[in-house]
Amino acid sequence: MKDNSLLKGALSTLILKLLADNGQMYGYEIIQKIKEASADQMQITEGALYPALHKMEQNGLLKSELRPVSGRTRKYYALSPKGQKATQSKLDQLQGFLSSIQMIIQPKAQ
Amino acid sequence: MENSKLNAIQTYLFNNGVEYYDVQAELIDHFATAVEKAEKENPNIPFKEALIKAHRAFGGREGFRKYIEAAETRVTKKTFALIGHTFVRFVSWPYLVITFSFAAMWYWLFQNLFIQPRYYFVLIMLAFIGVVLRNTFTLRNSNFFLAKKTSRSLGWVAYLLLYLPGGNTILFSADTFSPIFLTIYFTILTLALVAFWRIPHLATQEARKLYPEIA
Repeated sequence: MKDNSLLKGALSTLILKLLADNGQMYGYEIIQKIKEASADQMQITEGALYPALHKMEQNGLLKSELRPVSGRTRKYYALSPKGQKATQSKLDQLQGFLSSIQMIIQPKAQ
Repeated sequence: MENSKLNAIQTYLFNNGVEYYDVQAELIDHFATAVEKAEKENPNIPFKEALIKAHRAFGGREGFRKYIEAAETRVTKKTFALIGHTFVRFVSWPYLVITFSFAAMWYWLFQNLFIQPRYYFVLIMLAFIGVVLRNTFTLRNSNFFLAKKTSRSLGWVAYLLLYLPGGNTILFSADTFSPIFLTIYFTILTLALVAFWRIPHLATQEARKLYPEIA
């Protein structure tokens, strides 16, 4: 996906979904997973991921844990109870939004 | 990854404006992982080239700017939580004993020694300045943004919430004040002074607990 602005609004929902499926993950791992799952179609600017993660943590959707990994500290993110509750509704919202877009851009197909 | 490479990543981040370890830590891991991946894919890639490639993928300077802003907001929130927590402790057992001791001391002074409150106020403000200087000196080489930020924020808290409202009243007013009012105000000032003395140290301890590799 060349136009990253399309991804911006969906990024937090994608993070919630990935963490719901994989449990604990660290920043770099999340980026790789998104690239891998989208067959390299979604190219996140890596710097954009961390502010999103930090914001979600501040809003109580994520919890984090620091663990030492070969001489450095790695920060793992996981869904908080609030994040677990929010995941399904955020996915439903995104799904609804995508369907609406689909109806607009391909009205005959609906 | 070898320590020399981790140090090189840390220096690279520092030179690009990511100064403190508690802000750097997650980035060091990100860059180290990216470099490891690049080296695995191409064993002949020079370390510096792999690092620059990782920086580019991160969004260059703009990526760093956004990251620093988000990380600093998080640390600021933590700072205020730490300050709030310390003040709450003064009204909980067993620290309540300290609070009552200060209150009793001030009450006794205002009832028995007829020294103008403004002199006590000046004395406490001088003590505050002393603590500011001491904190600035002890934290001058601190690697932790949390400790430095806490010290700075406390300065503002003391100035805006304590000095500004009380200072003008007590320093320049010819009114006489009830010993109860003076006791409460001076007790709060004293507790703020104690907190000001202790909190940067507590913040450093907390940061060291989170990042033991830097301690």
